[in-house]
Amino acid sequence: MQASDSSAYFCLRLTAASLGLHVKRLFELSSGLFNSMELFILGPAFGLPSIDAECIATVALLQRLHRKDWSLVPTHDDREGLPLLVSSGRRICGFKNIARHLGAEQQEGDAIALSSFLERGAQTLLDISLYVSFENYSTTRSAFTQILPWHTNYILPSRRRAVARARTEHLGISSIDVDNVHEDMSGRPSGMDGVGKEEAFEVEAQKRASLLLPRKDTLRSLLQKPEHSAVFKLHALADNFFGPLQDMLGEEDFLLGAEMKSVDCLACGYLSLMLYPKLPQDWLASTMRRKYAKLVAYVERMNKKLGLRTNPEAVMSLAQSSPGDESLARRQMTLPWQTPARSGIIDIVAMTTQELVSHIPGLKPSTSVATIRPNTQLFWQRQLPTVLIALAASLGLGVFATFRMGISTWPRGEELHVFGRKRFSDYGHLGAALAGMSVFSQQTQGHAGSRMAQDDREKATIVDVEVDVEPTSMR
Amino acid sequence: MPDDDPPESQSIDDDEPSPQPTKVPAKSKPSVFDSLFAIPSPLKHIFDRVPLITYTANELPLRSPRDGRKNILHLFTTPEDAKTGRPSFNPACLKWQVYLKFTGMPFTTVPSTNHASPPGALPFLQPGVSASEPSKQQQPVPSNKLKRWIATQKPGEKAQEPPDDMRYEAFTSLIDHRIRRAWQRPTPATPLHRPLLSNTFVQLTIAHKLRRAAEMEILKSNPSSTPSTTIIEADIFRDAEEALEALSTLLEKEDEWFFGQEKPALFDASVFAYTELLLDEGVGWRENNRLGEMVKKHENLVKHRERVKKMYF
Repeated sequence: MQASDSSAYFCLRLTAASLGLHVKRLFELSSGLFNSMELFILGPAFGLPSIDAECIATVALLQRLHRKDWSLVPTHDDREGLPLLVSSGRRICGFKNIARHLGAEQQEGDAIALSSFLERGAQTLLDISLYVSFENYSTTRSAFTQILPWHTNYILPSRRRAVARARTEHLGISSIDVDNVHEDMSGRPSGMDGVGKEEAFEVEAQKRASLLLPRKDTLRSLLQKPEHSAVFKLHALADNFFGPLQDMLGEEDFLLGAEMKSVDCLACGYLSLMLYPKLPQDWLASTMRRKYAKLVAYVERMNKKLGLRTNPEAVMSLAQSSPGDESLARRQMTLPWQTPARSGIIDIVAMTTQELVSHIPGLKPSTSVATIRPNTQLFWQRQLPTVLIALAASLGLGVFATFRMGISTWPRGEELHVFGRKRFSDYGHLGAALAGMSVFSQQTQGHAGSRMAQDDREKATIVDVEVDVEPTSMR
Repeated sequence: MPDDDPPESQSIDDDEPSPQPTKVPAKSKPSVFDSLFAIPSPLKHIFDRVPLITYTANELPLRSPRDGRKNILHLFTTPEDAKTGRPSFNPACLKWQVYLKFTGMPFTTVPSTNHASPPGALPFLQPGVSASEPSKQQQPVPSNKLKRWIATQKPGEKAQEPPDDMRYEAFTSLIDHRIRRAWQRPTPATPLHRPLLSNTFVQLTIAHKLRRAAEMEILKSNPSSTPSTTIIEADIFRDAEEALEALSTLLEKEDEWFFGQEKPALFDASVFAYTELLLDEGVGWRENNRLGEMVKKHENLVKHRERVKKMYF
C-alpha cells in the first residue's frame, strides 16, 4: 500500500514539476516580450566573468554595444550550449550567432579570417593549458567547484576535459598529461608503459652505468626526452598563435585599426583566459608576458575598458544574500549579474542519469546532426516524442481494458491442432476414464461445454484413423 | 673422427678451390669441436645437390614504377586518373599535387591508401633515386615536410617564402578550419567511393564507417559553445559561406594570384584543392552540393580555378 502511495506521490511531483517548467517557459516568453535579454553563461572564475572563453567574449560584446537592457545569469545547464541569449522568446547560442542577432557591424574579410584563426588556435592552447595538463586541471577543477552545484561538479569538468583531450590528441603531447602516470602507479603490473616507472628505473640504472661509462647527457639526448620535446612543441604552438596576432595588432589600439570591433571581443575572451588564471604550469601566460608585451597590454586595456574584472565569490554569494544586501552588492559590480540559476531535483536526477547512461558501453548517445537550430523548433515538435509515447500507452491500455471487461472478445477461429499430441483416448482405459471425468465436469457447467467435449472426442477418433492408415499406405 | 676429414676437404676442393689455402693453417690443429659439429658425409652429399633448380627472378608487377629516378606522389586517386595525372579526389592530396606542379618538380602519381603510407596519411612522396648518389636510400617525405624537401631539391632557386602578409596565417585558417569542416559534412554521402566498391554490404559498412569518422572529425573541431554530441549544419555552412566571401574579397584586391604573388603558391593550391572538387561535374555530385553552389556565386574564385586548371592540367 505504502509503495503505491509513494509512487503516486512521485507521479504527482513529476506532473507538478513539468507544469512548473511550462509555467517557467511561459514566464520567460512573457518577460522576453518586455524587451530584456538574459545571457546565460558558465559561472565566473579567475577574476573573469566566466570560465569559458566564448562566454567571456559574449559578455565583452554586450558591454561593447552598451546595451542597458540585459542581465547576466551564471548557469551550469549546457544542454543547449553556452553562452545562451534569451531575447524576446528566441534562444540563441554561440558567440557568432549572438553577434549576428545583436546586429554587430557587418563582418568583412579580415575579421572573418581573424575570428577563424582565433577559434582554431586559441581553443587548442586553452585546452592544453587548462584541461589537458594534470597540474593545471586541478586548479581549473577547483575553480569549477566554486561555481557549480554539487552534482554537476562530477560531470561538467571531466566532460570538458575529455573533449579537450580528444581535440589535442593529434598533437602528441600526452607527456604533459601526468594523469596517465598516476593511473599507472595504482597497482598495475610493472612493464606497462608509464613515464614515472621508467624514470625510476633509469635513475637506478644510470647510477651504475655512470661508473662504467663516462657518457653524460648530450644536448641532443636531453632534447629528445618526451617531456622536453613536449615543451618545445608547446612553445612552438604558442608562438604560432601569438606571433601573427601581435603582427596584426601592430602599433594600433585594436586588432583591426583604431576602433573596437566584435573580433576584438572574441580575442579578448580567449586571451584573458590565457593571461589571468594563476596556474602551476604557466608556460602560456609566461610566454605571453615575456615575448608578447603588446598583446598583454591590449588584453589589459580591453578588460579595463569593458569592466570585465569580476569577483567570483561576490557573484556566487548573490544567491544567499537577502534582497537588501543583494542590491548593495550588485551596485558594486560592473556587470548586471543576476542570482545564479538553481536546478530542481528533477533536473539533478535527469542530468545524473543521462551522464551515467552515456558511460554504459553501447549506449553512447549517437551524434545528432541538426539541420536547423534546435531552439527554432516549434512547441509541438519538441513535445512530439512525449505525445507519441502517451498515445501509444493509452491505446495499449484501452485495448487491454476492453478485453478485460468483455466489451470485445478475442478472435477465436479453428482450434489449434498440434499433430502428434497425445489425447486422453490414446492412453487406453485409464485415459478414457479421465476423459469421461473431464467431460462430466464440463457437463456440469452446461450444455455448450458438453457439446464441445463431444466435438473433442469426435476429432480424437479422426486423428486415430489417420495414424492407422498411414503405415498401411507406406507398405 | 679422422675419417670425417677427407670428404670435407674434398668437398671444399670441389666447390671452391680458393679458400683452401687459407684454411690449411687452421686445419693444422684440428679441435674436437670442429669434428663434432661437422656435417656427416651422407647428409653433406644431399646438401650439396641443393638447390636442384634455380628459378629466374620474378618480374616486377605491372603496376610497379619502372623508372626509379622519378619522384612518385602517392595519393587517393583511381588507377586511370593516376596514368593521366588528373586531379585527385581528396583535397589534402590535391593541394600537394597542384603545389608540386606549381614548383615544376617532375613527378608521377600512384593510387594508394592510408595503410600503405609510412607516416599513416596520404599524400606522401617517394623521392626518386638521385643521379649523383644512386646508392643513397631515399626516405618517403610526408606532406608536412614536402615544402622543405622541395626547397632542398632546388638550392639554386630562392625558396618560396610565405608572402610577407600578416594576414596569411589568418586566411590559411579560414581554409583549414571553416571550409574543411563544411567539406567533411557531405563527403560520406557523396557517391565518390561507390564505384570502387562492388559489394552492397561492403559499401554500406564502409559508408557508415566513413560517415562516423567524418562526424568525429567535425565534433572535434566544434566550438565549445555547441553541445558535445551535436553538429549544427546551418552554422557550419554559414561559416563556410563567410569564409568563401572573405577569400573572394581577398582575391579581388589582387589581380591573379592570392597575396599579389607573381606565381601561384601554396595558398593558391589549397584554395584550388577545394574549388576544383566542388565545381567539377565529373566528381558525381548529385543535388547535395551546397558548398559548390556557394562557390559558384563568387566569380573570381571560379575564374581562379579555371586559370589553374588551364595552366597545369
